[in-house]
Amino acid sequence: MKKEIINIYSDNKIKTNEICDFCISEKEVNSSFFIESNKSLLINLIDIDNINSSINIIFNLKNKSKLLLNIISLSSINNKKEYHLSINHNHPESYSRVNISGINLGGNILVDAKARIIQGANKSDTRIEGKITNLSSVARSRISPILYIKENDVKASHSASLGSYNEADLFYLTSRGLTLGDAKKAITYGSIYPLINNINDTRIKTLSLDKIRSLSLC
Amino acid sequence: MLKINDLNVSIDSSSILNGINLEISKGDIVALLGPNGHGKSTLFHSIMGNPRYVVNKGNIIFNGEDITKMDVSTRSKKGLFLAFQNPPEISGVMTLDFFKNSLNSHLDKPIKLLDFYKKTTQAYEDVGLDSSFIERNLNEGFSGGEKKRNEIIQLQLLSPTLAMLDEIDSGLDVDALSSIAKVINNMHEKGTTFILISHYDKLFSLINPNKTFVIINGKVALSGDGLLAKRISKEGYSFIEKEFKIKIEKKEKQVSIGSCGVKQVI
Ligand SMILES: Nc1ncnc2c1ncn2[C@@H]1O[C@H](COP(=O)(O)OP(=O)(O)OP(=O)(O)O)[C@@H](O)[C@H]1O
Ligand SMILES: [Mg+2]
Repeated sequence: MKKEIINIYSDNKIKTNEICDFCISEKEVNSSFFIESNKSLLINLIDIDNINSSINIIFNLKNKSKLLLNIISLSSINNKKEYHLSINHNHPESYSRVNISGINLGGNILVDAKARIIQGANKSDTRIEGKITNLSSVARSRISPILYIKENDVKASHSASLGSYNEADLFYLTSRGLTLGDAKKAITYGSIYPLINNINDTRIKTLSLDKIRSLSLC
Repeated sequence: MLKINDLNVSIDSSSILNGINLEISKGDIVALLGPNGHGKSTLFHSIMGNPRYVVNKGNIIFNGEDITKMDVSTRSKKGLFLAFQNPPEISGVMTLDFFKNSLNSHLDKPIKLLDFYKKTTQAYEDVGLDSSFIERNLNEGFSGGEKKRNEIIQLQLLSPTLAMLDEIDSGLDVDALSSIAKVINNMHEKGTTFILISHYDKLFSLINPNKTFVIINGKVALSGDGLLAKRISKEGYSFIEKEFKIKIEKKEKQVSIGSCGVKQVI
């Protein structure tokens, strides 16, 4: 059987376990993923180019299927990056983890993430996590994780944090000799590194690392 | 070595230190005492240069140089070290990377990997902490005692000329306390000067202070030799009120630097 190519810009049926890395290079993404029973999909979405983007993706999960979605977002000055994600747990024992990590240098990062667990999709498990660091006073970020749960026997949680650097953390790191810029780098890099480390495509991984490393954070 | 003149410090426009004067010489072991909330940690943070603490008046002279306006990392490179009362947990920053970076920031040439390994292994052993902690995120999920040990490891790695230890004994078990006292006494013999804040006499029975400063109401209300520290940590502060007619204002403790563990999220 010929393997179908997964495309972030169209609709996809996931019939085998898949791991994919996508670097966003176009303005608009409108797509959907149907994950078949017992199958898993890991997507690393890297959106670090100096472009506006509007990412709209729907995920539908069948019995015992699994979704791991990691998004790395870097917004430069005046960029507007929007993410509208729907994760639909339509069948029992489906599992999803969404992790969004952003650095906002002075644009907009807006995240709407909705997870639905319908009645009957018992033992499903969903978690949405988001963390965006604003690095300038004009940076605007928003994370809205929403959980619609119609079944009792499930696990569902979310956490979102927005902010600039924690002053107490910076003081601690600089008190041991790191310059302020290096301390900020260590914290930013540290928050995003675990996601970058997950990227399988070595070219995309190197590209992302270089981009994050080259940020000047003074 | 350290001279503080009429230091006035405020936080968020409420004044905490109201004219601190003190002098410390090379080789001293100083006990810094005072009731809760009277400004001990604030003084340490001001000496280290925490930007949240605004110096309204006075200055801090370290080895003949006015450091009052110097940035934090430069003070560290000049040989100052502060072991925090409550070290923050910094997720995503691996201890190993951080130790290497902070050590290298004090050196002209980056340390050789083998030397770094030897140095850290020894430091972990000295405080009785498993060296696998070096692979964990900085202080993340560490117990109170483990955080304190981690501070002492950094003290050893950076070997400062003046070390300020803020309640280093709180949360430590008896064995850890004696190993840490050993480290401090060793470093003192090799030339490090210490200022120690503690509320307990146990520490001052293991490490002998030769000077005591008592901070009350944001001022050095009383100073003396090492015996003063021993007496206070046994008897408390009431004799000061009686014998020296110093009124100790009751502090309604709102926020202490000691409770900065909560992440500030804007
Ligand atoms: N970040 C802060 N914001 C507001 N007030 C603060 C802050 N840090 C300290 N304070 C206040 O400054 C005063 C002195 O606090 P400090 O932490 O220096 O006391 P301390 O002498 O070290 O007490 P303890 O023995 O309890 O550690 C307290 O009243 C405290 O509430
Ligand atoms: Mg204190």
